[in-house]
Amino acid sequence: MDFDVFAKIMGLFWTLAEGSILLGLRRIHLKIRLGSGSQPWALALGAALFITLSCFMFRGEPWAASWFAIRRPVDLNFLQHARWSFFCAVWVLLEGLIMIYCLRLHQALKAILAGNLPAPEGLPGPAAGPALAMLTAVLFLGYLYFFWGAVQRLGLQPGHIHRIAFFYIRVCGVFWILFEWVVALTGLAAWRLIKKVEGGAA
Amino acid sequence: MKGLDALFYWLAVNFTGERYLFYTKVQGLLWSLADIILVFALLKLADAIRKAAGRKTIKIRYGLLLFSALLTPLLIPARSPEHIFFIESLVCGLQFLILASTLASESRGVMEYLANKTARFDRGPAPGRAGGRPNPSPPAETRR
Repeated sequence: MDFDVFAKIMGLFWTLAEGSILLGLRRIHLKIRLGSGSQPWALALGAALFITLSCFMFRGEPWAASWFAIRRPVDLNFLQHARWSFFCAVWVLLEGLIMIYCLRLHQALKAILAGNLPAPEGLPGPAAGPALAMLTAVLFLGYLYFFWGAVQRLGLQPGHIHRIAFFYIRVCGVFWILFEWVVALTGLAAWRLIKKVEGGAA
Repeated sequence: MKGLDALFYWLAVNFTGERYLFYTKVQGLLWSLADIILVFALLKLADAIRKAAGRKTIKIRYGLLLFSALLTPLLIPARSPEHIFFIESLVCGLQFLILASTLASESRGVMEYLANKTARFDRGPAPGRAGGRPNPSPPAETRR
């Protein structure tokens, strides 16, 4: 199998896995808060987004090239890297949302195991998810805009574009690490809570 | 050359393949360690709830997690980004499968466990515990 095809399939697998985890956590959160974990609209939206992302992963560059009338090889090379940069931003957003739900669930679990009902949402509040989505979109679009401008003004070549795009991936990596460590430590704290309540048998 | 153009130019010239490989390995090890801990914590959480419900504990998923942990150090001798990508695909792929399958198989048990805990509030406060909420219904929430 061609490495590019393998990379695209793995990219979509991670997107599907993280999206599924996010919806699973949201379902538990809704069950605790509202008594029902039903989320048909979220499931439908998630499925539609995943299908769109899959089409974009495999056909995004030819469509974008045709839409924006991009023909120069260096600009086509930029598009290819922009596609991967977009998915890196999607993974930052998905992991950030997973982190938000883990923190909310941990708060609810603490309240329930302490003998209280889960309080109205403290931090992170209901605006946290949309705020993270907006921030990710603004930063990604800003990066693309200035990167594209630099390519045109400085006459950057594919090798240069490659290095800048790979630096961007490493910047995304910082956020992946941060969010995953928060989730890991929250998971450990939740386990400790339940162990304490169940008398150490856990 | 203006601010951001200078930054992009510096990256274009100086962020070499060797630097990218080095930072990718460092980050790969850091997020793999976080993933191992979070999957382990989730499995232990699920086990704690299974024990409280009198069910058998998880076994195979711990084995898969251990296997993925043993693969992680292979990142260190990796010689190319493609090599790292392949190892991460195996390691993260396994861990994501464990995470997603655990959520799918254990979420009902978690919700039953929490429902049992909150059902006690509907019957009033436990003996010896001061106070108790007069309205046991969960507060209403605006959906996102």
